[in-house]
Amino acid sequence: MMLSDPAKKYSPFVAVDIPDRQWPNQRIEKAPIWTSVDLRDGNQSLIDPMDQERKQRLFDLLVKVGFKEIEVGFPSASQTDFDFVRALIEQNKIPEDVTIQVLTQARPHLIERTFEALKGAKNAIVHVYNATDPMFRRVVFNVNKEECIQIAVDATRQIRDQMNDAPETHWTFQYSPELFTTTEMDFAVEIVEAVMDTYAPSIDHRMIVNLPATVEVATPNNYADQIEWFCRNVKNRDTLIVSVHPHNDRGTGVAAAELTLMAGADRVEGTLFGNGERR
Amino acid sequence: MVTVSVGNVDIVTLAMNMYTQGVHPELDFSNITPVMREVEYCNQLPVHPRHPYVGDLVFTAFSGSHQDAIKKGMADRREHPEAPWDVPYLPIDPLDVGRSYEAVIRVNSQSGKGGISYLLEQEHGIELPRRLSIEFSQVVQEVADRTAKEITSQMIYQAFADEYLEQQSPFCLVNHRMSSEPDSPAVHLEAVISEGGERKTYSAEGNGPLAAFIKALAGAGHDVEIIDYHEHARGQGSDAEAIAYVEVRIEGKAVFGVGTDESITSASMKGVLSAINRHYSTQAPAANVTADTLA
Repeated sequence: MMLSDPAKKYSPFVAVDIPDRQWPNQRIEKAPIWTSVDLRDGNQSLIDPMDQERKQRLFDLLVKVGFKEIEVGFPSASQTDFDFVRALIEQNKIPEDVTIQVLTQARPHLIERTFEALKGAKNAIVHVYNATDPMFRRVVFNVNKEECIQIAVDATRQIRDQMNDAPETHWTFQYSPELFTTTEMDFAVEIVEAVMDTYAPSIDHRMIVNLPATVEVATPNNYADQIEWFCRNVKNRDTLIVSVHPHNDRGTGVAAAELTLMAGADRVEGTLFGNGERR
Repeated sequence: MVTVSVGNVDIVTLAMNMYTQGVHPELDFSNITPVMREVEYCNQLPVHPRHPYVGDLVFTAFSGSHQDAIKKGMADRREHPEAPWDVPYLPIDPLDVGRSYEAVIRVNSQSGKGGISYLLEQEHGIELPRRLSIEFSQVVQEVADRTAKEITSQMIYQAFADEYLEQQSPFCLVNHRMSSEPDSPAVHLEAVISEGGERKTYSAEGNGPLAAFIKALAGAGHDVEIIDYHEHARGQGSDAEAIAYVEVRIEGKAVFGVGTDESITSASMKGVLSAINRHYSTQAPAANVTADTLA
């Protein structure tokens, strides 16, 4: 039953302190980089996950519509995803100008398996994540801030080395502090900078930092504030492609994406017609 | 894995929001309905009929005052085709996403779209797909305007037959023959079609009779793409016949056709020809009420 006083149970979102925010004066003047996560985030949310035929049809549709970056699965977590990625690569089904992306947890054997899945790809984005939000650090994973950073840094180092061992692929690295919007902003910058120190992106070889609203917890202006704050405070912003990944828990996913583009995001991860799950 | 599914951000809406601000999103949704159908097939989840830019009902006006405003806006646009898009109630030109504006008019206070579909289903065993029922309601409205009478169920059926089933010119199916090899999905089809009175034989192979028929038509220079297809049996026992509702794309335009026959294969082919005939008929289909066709 709904409470007569919901404040006893729910507390409001605490906004970032950014009184001189610039994003409300901006306009969206060009298309961002679009990344489809239909085949990964979307697929994970289906009652009946897609079989190979449906995945291939959706992949072909995404290419036809014009997506240049497509997250095709979580190959270290699912044999079906692994097989699909292999089929795309071995059967030469990925156009030259399209880059596939795969997701992995920050764990050594899963990263290894991820690279097995990608063997022989022309272009690929390896997307690693770990949860940075204080609730997850304390309750779910029982790690302190230093340990949380160490997980991200170790994974980054392993990914960097495995990329160097397979120079036939044109690699891009992507890191997501999962639950970014409920993470302390200074900690989000700290962990991303630690990852940058390890991977060493440059203006000519940028890395993607994806800042998800894993759960949408506030009005969309707050997400924009956080993106502007992050972009202004992270070092070497020009070596980063800043990506957003909104969800629609409060029904404002589209608005949130638009405001974050005004606030400086370069890239949007989403799905056709808004199907999808988390991360 | 725990699945808590509220959904990702919708890239189609984001892209089209950008487009209607004059910024090209660099994604192509010129034919948005087939994109939606394909995604629905792959996800096995329906897209909501009111989903922005794409839902079955989003280019549909039910209210008379809205329809009047849109009609005037469209007429104004015909006079100023180069002016920025500014039509009442329509943030985007439906043609840009391969759709058409559909004025759904209530036949009387009790009927409307639901009423027409209900009468056709209950009394004539015809179960219209939703978008076809939207389109057909305009045909009925024309009849209502012409006759200025209460519309009866028989008048509705007659309008349906005239609009879809009796469309036999220029193309009319005379007969067809099919053959297939055991253990193969491929079907060889030979169809005899009367084209303005002259009989021609079309043949092709395809995965299933309809696919073969579409290929045969393409071979003869008629490029037709199936967007949507529904079929069901009508009547019972030995009197049962098949009815097929086919939505096709011809020359960039979406058109419905309907065919009936004892054989489902013939019904589907007749449905395709009905759509082609409607497309080529001199009278523009009432459904494609656009800036170009509105009087």
